[in-house]
Amino acid sequence: MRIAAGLLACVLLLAAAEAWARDAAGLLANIVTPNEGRPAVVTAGGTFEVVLEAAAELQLVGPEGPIPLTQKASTTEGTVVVRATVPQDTPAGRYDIEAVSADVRDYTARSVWVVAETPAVYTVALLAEPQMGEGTGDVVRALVRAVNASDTALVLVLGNLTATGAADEFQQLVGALAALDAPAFVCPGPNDRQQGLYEAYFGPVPYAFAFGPDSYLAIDTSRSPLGVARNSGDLFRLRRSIRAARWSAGFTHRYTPGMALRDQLTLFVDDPLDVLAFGREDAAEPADPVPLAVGRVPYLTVPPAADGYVRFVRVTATEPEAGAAVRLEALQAIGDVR
Amino acid sequence: MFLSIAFFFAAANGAAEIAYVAETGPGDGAVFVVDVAGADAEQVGPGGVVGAPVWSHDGARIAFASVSGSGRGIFVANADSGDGGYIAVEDEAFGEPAFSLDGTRLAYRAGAGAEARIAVHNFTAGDDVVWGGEEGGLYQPAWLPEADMVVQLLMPFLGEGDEARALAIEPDASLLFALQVTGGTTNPVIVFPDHVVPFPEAALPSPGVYAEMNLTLDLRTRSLAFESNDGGDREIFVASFQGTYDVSNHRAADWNPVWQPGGLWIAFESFRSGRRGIYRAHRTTYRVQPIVVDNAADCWGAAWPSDGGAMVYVTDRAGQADIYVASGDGADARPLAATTAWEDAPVWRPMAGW
Repeated sequence: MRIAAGLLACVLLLAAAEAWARDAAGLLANIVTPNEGRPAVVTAGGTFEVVLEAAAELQLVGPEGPIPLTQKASTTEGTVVVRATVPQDTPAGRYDIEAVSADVRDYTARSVWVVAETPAVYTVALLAEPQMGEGTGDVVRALVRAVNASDTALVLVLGNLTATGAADEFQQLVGALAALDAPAFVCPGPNDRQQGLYEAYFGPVPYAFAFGPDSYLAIDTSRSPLGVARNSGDLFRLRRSIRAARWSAGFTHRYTPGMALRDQLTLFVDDPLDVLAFGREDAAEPADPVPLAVGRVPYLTVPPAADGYVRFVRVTATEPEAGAAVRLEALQAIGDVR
Repeated sequence: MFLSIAFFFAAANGAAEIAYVAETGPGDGAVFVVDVAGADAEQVGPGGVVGAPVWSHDGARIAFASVSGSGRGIFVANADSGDGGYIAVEDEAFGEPAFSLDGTRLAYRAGAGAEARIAVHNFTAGDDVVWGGEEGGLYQPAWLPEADMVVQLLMPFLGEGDEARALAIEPDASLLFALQVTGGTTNPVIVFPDHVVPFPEAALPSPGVYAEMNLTLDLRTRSLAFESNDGGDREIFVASFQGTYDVSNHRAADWNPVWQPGGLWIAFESFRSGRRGIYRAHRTTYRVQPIVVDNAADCWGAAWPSDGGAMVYVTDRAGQADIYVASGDGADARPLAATTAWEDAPVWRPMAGW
């Protein structure tokens, strides 16, 4: 069984490598979102948002062939925002999305997840600091297999996603995300900003998305360490937009008290998140954790994936239950079962 | 320690000039100064990671937080000669420089969270002294011109046993307004060289635990504007000898108060139209007027020169943050610089004689 799971993962990775649409360098082209690191999760008959550089006809592409989408477009700040509706009879599964205009055909692979229903109780897998390109490919691929072997419904990947922010490192990450059996959402760390390519691979941050009754907010704390907050207005609006969720959870590369005070007040005091997840440098839980500078938001930290760690959180109606971070050696036993 | 580093920077003293931050590459930025008449922007000091610039009150110097290959700390530059250097800071987080009114000292924050301290650099002695005694969590220092002014402002709110009454006894004391991050919230305080005095409760909007931010003083009307989440969402309040009042009341958040020249109006940012726009409230009638509002973009960071004849602001209407210059009422706006770089934190060079 272990061999079969490994072969399956290899096949998925190879398929992903051939399926990157984007452009020749792997950069996003016309379709900004959804993409492999910021997918859409939608029920049949439901609606999701597509952000395009230029207007185009949209369709899903799956094993059964193309599925045209009903779409309603508006243009704002130089981009085209489309509300795309999935036909009621669309089978559950993972789809590519295609944007076809007069002279351009673009698609992002495996970026739309059509689900029968989003569960009210589910497991989230948190991976931090995969640092692709730092010789971490094998351990990240093994973690992907381990996550696939669990009952994970949603994956959050916290920066540093890459070792140096180089294009080939991002492409390795896209391949790893494509191999996951659950939708995965990413947020950057400072390494991912070094060459200015993060947005070209995954689109803008901050962003928010709904998963069943809950909402998640991707926060970028990797920029502006000296106080010029760059996305305070966006962060405020996104936080407000997810107020009605059962649980509102933030995830980011790292929290430090040096985070812009404005953003801390927005997220931890004025409209406090229910929980904040962020990565940490060390495998061991800190003996004396530093509390948030303001507010009372509970938080959980995630040890580095590059060291073989993943953290699972069981989300229920009562409260998110954070399990201990589990190292790969222990998880491989779960993989054997599958 | 004040390290001397020379950088080319030419600017005509007294001209209408704006300092701002712009991105120069992935993860890198720099402070620039530009003549609003259209001359090319000149970089001030080293590039790297930089914070928002501030001018000295005479317009002769610029200061900003900086981490570069040349050093880390508060970089202070002579606006005309280009000479400058670092006030070295070892803390991981720092910033918020503020020149004293006479320009002899510069206060700044060193550290973050509960460890944040206010340090004061004395340009004559060349030393740095931590103010506030043992108190930590101090942010956003702002110099007060004279203790007597604070006494006038706060005395109506002070009870018999209030510590701040000490101000009346030492009217020549040097002091700062600041924000103290403590107990999970933020509160305004008065910072002495050796201790910290809480803002009198009676001068705050109502009893309870609220988070204040961005205290800003208008010297002409001796009034203090600040924002607070008292009332459920963020509002702009004005404290003066007449009392403390909510001047922006709205269910949407109101942020970042800035006095317009003359002290009759307080400009602020509000989300009341959905996007972040720039509005102003009259300090006595509380009438609110829009200044720059765009239904498809955020607008923020408004600043006026001393004569109020023009304004600058930041907007992302072209997809990223760009600085626009406009007439004093927000009309006739045009991009300040024809660049594609991210720009923010504009501030006018003070005019001579104001």
